[in-house]
Amino acid sequence: MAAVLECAHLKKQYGSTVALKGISLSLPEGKIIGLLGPNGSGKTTLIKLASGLLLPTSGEIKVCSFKPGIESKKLVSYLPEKNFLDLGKKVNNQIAFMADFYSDFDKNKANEMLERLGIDPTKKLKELSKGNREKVQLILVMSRNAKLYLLDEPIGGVDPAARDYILETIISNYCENSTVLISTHLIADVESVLNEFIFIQEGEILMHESADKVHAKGKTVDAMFREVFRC
Amino acid sequence: MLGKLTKHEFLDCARIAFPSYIAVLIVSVVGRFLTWLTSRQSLIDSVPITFVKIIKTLSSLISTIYVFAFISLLVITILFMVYRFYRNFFTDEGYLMLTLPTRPTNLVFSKLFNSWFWIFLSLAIALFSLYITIGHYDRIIELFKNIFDSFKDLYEREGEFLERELGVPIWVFAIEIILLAFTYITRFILSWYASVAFGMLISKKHKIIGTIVAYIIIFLASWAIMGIYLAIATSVIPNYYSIFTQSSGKALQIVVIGNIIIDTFFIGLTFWFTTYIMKHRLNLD
Repeated sequence: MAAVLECAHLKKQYGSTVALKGISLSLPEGKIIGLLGPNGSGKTTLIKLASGLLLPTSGEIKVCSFKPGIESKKLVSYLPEKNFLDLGKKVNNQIAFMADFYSDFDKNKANEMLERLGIDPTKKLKELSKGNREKVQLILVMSRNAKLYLLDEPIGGVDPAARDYILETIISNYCENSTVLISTHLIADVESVLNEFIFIQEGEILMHESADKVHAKGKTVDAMFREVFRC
Repeated sequence: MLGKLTKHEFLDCARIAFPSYIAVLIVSVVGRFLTWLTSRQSLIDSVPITFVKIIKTLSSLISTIYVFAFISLLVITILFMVYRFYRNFFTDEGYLMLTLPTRPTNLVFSKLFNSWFWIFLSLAIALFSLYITIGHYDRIIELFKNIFDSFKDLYEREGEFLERELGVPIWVFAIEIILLAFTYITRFILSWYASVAFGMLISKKHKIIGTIVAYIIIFLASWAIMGIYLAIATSVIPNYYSIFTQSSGKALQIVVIGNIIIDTFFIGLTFWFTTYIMKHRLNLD
C-alpha cells in the first residue's frame, strides 16, 4: 500500500526547545488515523510540517513522495485548530475562494452539506454562531477530494452533538484512497472511527498500531492511552 | 495563481474600500450643497434666522469632516494595506493563506499590486472629492490647461538650457521622475511588509513595537546608504562640488538616479526578506 505521509528522522526545534525528536513514520492510504498525545507532545508541530507551514530542522517529510511545497499543498486538506477564515466574508465567497485555488474542491458537495445544516451561504461568517463557523470550516476542508486530510483537534471545544456531526462528516466525505490524520486528546469520541492510532509524547512516537488489534485483545484505545500516559 | 490571488485580494479590499470612498464622496456632495445653500442671500432672507444658523453650523461641521476625511484617505488606505498583509499572513488567517498551493512570492506580489492600485485610486478619489467640494468643471479644465501650457512654455523657452543642465533629454528626465515615484511607493510598501515580518520574529507579544522599530531601522538605513552614495559621488565625480553649486540640473540628476538605484536595492532586499521569513521562519500561534 502506497504511503501518503512519510517521515524519516524528522526533527523540529524552536530555539532550544525540541518539539519533534527525529521521528520516522509511514502512513498508508485509505485509513483514518488518530494522532494521540497529551498537550505539548508535538501533534500540532507534525501536522504543521505536513501542511508545509513549517520546515523541518532536519530529517525529511513527504506527502505522496512530494516534499512540502506547491505539489504537496495541492494534495493536503488542512483543518487547523484556529478560526482561519475571514469573518467579514460571505460563506459563498469563501466557497468560491476554495474552488478557485483547489481543483479538487467540490462546490456541490459543500453546498449540499451547508443545506443539510441549514446554513445560509449568503450570510457573512461573523453572522453565524461559533458552532456553525466551525462547521463551515470543516465543510470547506472535507469538500476537497484530497489525498491527505490533516485535522487538528476538530472536536475540541464543541458539544457532543456537534462532535457526532463532525465525525460523521469526516467518515462520509473522505475517499477510499485518502488518509485522514486526526489529532486529538478526546480519544473516546474518535475511537469508533479510527483504523490506526499513533501515540506521541515529548516529540517521540511511542506506539503506531492498528485499532483493530487493540480491540481484538479486548482493550480500547482510550484505556490504552490512559495506561501509557498515566501521570 | 498570481491572477487568482490578486483577484481575491481586490474583492476583499473593495468590500471595505468602496463604501469608504462612497462615504467621502457623499460628504463632499453634502458639503457642496450646504455651501451653495448658505451662499444664496435670497434664501437666507426668506427663512428664520435659527434655521440659517443650523445650516451654517452643519456646513462648518461637514467641512471639518471632509477635511479630515480628505487628509486621512491616503493614510488610512496605506495602513489598511499593511494591516491586511499582517492579518492575512501572520494571524490565524495565515493557516489558510500560507497553505495555498502557491509560492510566497506570489502572495506578496498580489498584496503589492493591490496596494499600488488602492493607493492610486484613493489619491484619485481624494482629488475628485476636492473637485466636487470646491471646483467648477470649467475651472478644473482651465487649471489643467494652464499647467500644461506652463510646461509647454517652459520647454519652448528653456528646453535647450534644461536639457543641457540635466545632461539628458526632457522626456528621459520625465521617465526618471515617474520611475522615482514608482520605486519610492514600492519601497515604502515593501518596507512595511518586511517590518511586519520582522516584528513577528522579535516577539509574539510585541509585534507592533517590533514592526515600528524595524521600519525605523529600514528608513534610517536607506538614508545612510543615500549618504554613502553621495559621499562616493563626491569623491568619484570630477568637479562634484561645482556641479552642485553651478549646475543644479546635474546635481538633481545625481540625486534622482541615486534614489532610484537605492530604492530598487531596498525593494529587492525587503522583498527577499519578507518571502524568506514567510517560507523559513514563520511559526503561527
